[in-house]
Amino acid sequence: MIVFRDVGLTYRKPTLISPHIRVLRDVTMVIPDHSRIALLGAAGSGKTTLLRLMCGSLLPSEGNVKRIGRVSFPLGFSGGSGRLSIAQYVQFVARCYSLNARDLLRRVVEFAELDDVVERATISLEPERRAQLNFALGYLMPFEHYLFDGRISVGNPDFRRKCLERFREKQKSAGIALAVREIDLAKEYCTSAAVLWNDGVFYFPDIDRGIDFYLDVNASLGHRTPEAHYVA
Amino acid sequence: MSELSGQMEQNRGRPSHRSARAWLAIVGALVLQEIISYDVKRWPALTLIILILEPIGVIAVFATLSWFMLRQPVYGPSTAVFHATGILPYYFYIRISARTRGFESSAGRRLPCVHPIDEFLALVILEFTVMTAATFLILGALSIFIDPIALPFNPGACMGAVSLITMFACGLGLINSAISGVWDFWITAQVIFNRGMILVSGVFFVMDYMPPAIRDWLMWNPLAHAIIWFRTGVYPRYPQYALDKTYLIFVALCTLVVGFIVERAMQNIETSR
Repeated sequence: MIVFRDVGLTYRKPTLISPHIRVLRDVTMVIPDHSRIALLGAAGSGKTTLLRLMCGSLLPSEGNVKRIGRVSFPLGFSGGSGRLSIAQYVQFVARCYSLNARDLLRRVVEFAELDDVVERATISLEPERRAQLNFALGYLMPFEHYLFDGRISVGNPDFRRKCLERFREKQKSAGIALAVREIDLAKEYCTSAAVLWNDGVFYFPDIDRGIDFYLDVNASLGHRTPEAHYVA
Repeated sequence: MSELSGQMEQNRGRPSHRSARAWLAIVGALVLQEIISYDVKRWPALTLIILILEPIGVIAVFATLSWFMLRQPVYGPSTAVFHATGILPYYFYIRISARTRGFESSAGRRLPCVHPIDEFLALVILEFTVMTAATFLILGALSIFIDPIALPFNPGACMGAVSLITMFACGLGLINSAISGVWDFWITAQVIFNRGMILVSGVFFVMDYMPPAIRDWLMWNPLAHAIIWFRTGVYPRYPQYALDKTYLIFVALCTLVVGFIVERAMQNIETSR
């Protein structure tokens, strides 16, 4: 369960005279366990910021976010120093989350098929394989909430298939939050929606009503979003 | 697939909400990561050797120079020991403030369970350990090869001085990392400033032998107090009229508190980094 209480977030510029950028205002919502929620919003409406608040890598300027249960980092996230080798990086993440480092490394290497490059520096890896590594890392760690930023899989078709399998497994056993702009993705994987609009978050227990609202507000603003074509 | 072994703690992001064991695991992992990615990629051992050799080199150069200029030690029986007891505490300040000022407090590439302060602590722990080892090695070597006086007769005074320098350097590093997020040139200015400061911190002369008019100005520098304090642990009768421990403790604590406040205040500020 993730509880938002009166959460507000303001990015400030370092100079005193420049205006503050308000991203979220007075967000109060409860994301229950085992919920499959889509965070819908136009580009720049604060989807990633909301995800970061959910996982705790950003602290809110006002209010608080309470996490009950283990919340993942946004899957596909790459952290740490790129100078570490893949083995060292996976072990570092495992240690941070108090998991068995050797066990996690073995599974990640097997899942993402990285046997030939385990000793190479993460930064020297092709972007596609690096993304595969990060997705494998997220899918193989036990969380109660999995956060996704725009996509649920990456890379070659074989790896995508494996990711989808894991995703379906997680759908049954854990909560999922998916930040997207494409409504067909939201429709396929989620059952409820939170629409970001005008610095606020509007929660809909029913995904279809959420999508209707999302399309309405974006049309009323005159935004010609590519997503609109899918329903039209 | 069966669940992974290992006990995963509840992750609530902020340090105050984590168990002590989870927090220790995180800081430990960060320290290990820092050691692994220490400057030189394939030769971490070589980097450690260079780290320890650097202050030795500085001590050797200044000791030789002043021996040629003065022909007799500034204080005590040996020039090298006198310089070493000034340069070593000063290097605590240089290294810790240099490592911590590069640390950034925005949420960029950090795992959600890792708080900025954890990363900061890991850096400080590592630097402090390396510098303590270097100090032991250098003073030990000097006491064997040059003069037995190099081994501190009162290690408590040395530890006190060094820990206060560390606190001061931590606070300054946090403040500098905040300022340099807004103004890039600050780092360069800081490097020049630090190199110059060594001349007025009483590393190469005895503060009490300076004319009072100058000494009163120089003693505003907290590092000068710490260096006198360090030397009182090595030389039993080192002149310490100018030493004011209360001032040193006050300045170190204030810098540290201001540093933490500034770090927290900069959290949601978009910096140029």
